[in-house]
Amino acid sequence: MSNVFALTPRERRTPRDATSGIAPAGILSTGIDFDAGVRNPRSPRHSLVEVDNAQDWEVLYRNAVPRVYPALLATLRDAELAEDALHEAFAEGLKRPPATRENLPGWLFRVALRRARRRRWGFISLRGQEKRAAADEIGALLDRMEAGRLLALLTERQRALVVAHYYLGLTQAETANLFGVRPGTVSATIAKALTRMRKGATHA
Amino acid sequence: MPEDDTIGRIIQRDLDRLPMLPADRWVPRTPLRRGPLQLSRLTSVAAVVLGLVVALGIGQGVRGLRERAAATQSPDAVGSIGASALVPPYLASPDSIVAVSESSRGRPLGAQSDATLQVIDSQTGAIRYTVPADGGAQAVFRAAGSELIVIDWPQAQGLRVDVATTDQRIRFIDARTGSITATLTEPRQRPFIGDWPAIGAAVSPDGKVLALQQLGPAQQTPGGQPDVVTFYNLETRSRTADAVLFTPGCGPGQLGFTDDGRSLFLVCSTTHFFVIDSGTRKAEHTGYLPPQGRFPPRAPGFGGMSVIGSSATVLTRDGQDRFVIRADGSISGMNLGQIFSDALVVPPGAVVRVPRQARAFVGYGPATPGTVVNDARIMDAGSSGGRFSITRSSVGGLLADDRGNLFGADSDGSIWRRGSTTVSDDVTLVPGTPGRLARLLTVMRTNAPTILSRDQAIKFVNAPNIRIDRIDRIETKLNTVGEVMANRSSGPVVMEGVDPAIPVWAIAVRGEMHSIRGFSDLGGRSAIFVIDAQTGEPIAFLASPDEWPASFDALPDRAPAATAPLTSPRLPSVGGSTPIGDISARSACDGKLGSARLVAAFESTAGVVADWVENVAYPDAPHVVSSDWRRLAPSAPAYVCYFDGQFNAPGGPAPGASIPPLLGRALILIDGSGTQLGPSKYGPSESLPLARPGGRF
Repeated sequence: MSNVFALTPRERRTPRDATSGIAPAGILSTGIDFDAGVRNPRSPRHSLVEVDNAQDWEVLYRNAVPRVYPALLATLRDAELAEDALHEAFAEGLKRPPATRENLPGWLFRVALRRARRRRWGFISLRGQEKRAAADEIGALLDRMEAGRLLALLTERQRALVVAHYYLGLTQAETANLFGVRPGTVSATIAKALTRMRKGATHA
Repeated sequence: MPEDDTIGRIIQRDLDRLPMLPADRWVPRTPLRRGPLQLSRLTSVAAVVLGLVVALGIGQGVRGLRERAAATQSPDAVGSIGASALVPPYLASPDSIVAVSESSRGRPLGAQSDATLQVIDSQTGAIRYTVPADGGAQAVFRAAGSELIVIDWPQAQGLRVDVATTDQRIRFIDARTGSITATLTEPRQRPFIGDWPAIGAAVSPDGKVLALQQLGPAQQTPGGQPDVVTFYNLETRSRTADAVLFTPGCGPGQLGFTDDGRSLFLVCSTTHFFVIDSGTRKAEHTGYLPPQGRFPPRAPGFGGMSVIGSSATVLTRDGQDRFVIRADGSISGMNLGQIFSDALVVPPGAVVRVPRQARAFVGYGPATPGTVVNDARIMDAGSSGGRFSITRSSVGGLLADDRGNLFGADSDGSIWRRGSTTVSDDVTLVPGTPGRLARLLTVMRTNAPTILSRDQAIKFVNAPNIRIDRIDRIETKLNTVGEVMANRSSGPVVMEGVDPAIPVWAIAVRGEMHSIRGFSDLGGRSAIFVIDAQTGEPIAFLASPDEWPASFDALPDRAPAATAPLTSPRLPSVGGSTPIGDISARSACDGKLGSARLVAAFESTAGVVADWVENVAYPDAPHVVSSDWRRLAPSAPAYVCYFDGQFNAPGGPAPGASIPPLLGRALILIDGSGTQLGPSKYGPSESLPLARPGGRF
């Protein structure tokens, strides 16, 4: 069993521009020194960690959940679906762990989204009233939030990329790599999403 | 107009305010409960809402999974053998508070009276109240378990039970208090022979209709009536006028409504089945299940086939053969042959159940003995247009070696499965909401097929519709189906659909046995029961007119204890290649005695082992005053390991002498760190029966 645990929670990584590597202005404002190891309870970034058993995987996963779950909620707008998708991503990691432990939240986010889509297509017709109500509840909560209202203007794909970039702190290159698209596609999608959100905010 | 960075900040700020998932829900739930039931034979289990699994074992009443007390039933107790024909199916109320079983305590074997329905608190195991019932009572719950309906046939004092002079009684009981709220007596005579705990009864999903199977007297009785299904209006508590469906020759069966209440299924002990329209009370379809070459589906009292209602109804036969009847609104246009043809796609070992909401739970995947199932799926019936899309290519042998398995569903969708009944009765309860694949990944394990021991085979002796009242002599031999059938006194016969190489225990019994259904009772006083040596399922029953079945004596005994060599490559040795006992103890014991074969491994604690070794009363047992085990915490893990192999005599050879190795058994004790602690014992296997701490040393 490998015990190479080197968990060094670091503060939330901010999104950086894909080409310049510079974080967008206004976000890099927490004033936290990365190397000081300040623990942010919702900060999932770790240094490279070797794991080869389920227990280690669970530790890594648990560190990532506080970051990934809100991202899934905001993207899927369905608490139950988000929870299920998270669980399935966990299971996927147990069976086929990601090749690298870098950017684990991003990996979980992408796998969970993919599983959520499969589940939703397969089972949506059978979802009961109470589950629907749960989804409505989180939808209503998001609608009361400015971010929720802005994200609601987007397609789910746009939401996923925007959340990955602005909330999970992935660069556009990382996002493109994770989602298996070209960096230009990410850039264009995010740009289109921002335009839509700006328009929506103006109308509001 | 917000700038990009502002939007990013808003997203950061607001998403951090979203409610966080409680930490205990971050990962898929682990098994809710898992543990050995240690029942000599698990007949049925029920999952109830509060998460407790209630299990019913023959002769041992009801146990919850929390209970770990070892069964102390004597393997050769005649009472336990007879009980197999007396214990009716479990019944667990949907609201989790009670389970009901019929007690045979204090009841002489063969007696037909003094039965009692026990209503048991499934959380504590305490008896809440009892409902006196005559003969083989049947019971169902109504209205989410708030009402218990008990059907029996009260007898006049001193009246012989096999005289059909009693009327049927239906009592309506407040399930929580036990008070009888109404009684309905019907002029329906008790069946002619025997008692009938296994007649079908079902309450419609809306709680308004009770469908009750009623068996006519034996067919040779002058003026005898056929079997029927009668419908009662539970709101008026009266028989629904003209709502009787004739089901001649059906015999004890099972009834089940579909979830939508539109259809009612009746499956007879003759394999005949009826699909009944709940509205018109008429049979829409009838037919026979495909012959399997074995006995007909067993009545629920024997832990056999179960009918599970749903809008897409699945009918299962416990064992390897499973059939699916789809009743999703299109059954009237379906060819029943096609249905079964479709059903045969369901692979052996697959488990299908549709508890409610049109959900199908399908668990399957590759599995080899002793490995962890690495793929299991739960599918949703709706995901493939109402059909069960089982991908043949991905079907392995999950549970194919575990034919005693059974799936059930809790109200929250949890699924439990029962492992082998022959060794450890492991039950794993896993949450199983459709699509939550992850929750099954780490908990489903299969037990390797194991041959029943001779003592276990004796416990399992039974055959459908045969009641054993007394046993004067009983002997067993391990054979194959082909050998037993070739040796029949009335001439060899081939059982269609049964692999002749299947290992079976042939159990010869002399005593008093009766047919509880049929044209006439058994004429002789002896018989051979042929049961599957791996599962205990009955395969054949060969009655003999003689005092002792002569063909039995001519059979060889393939059990290793006999001198005859193993002749069938398909015939594993008794005990199988897998140790009996607790799976968790195997790794601790394995390899601790060189190449000797681990035959049993039990998990225990230091305190229990210390008590055991310091108090053994057998003359050849080691005498220990203060055990090493006392140095450990009483709750420290301890493992009791039995090995078979060639061992030198204790103390080594005498000076100048060469002592040939003994063929025997070793018992050693291992602590939690893997260290062997004393005492140990080596000797012939007869002196070291495989047992948990507390037995022979």
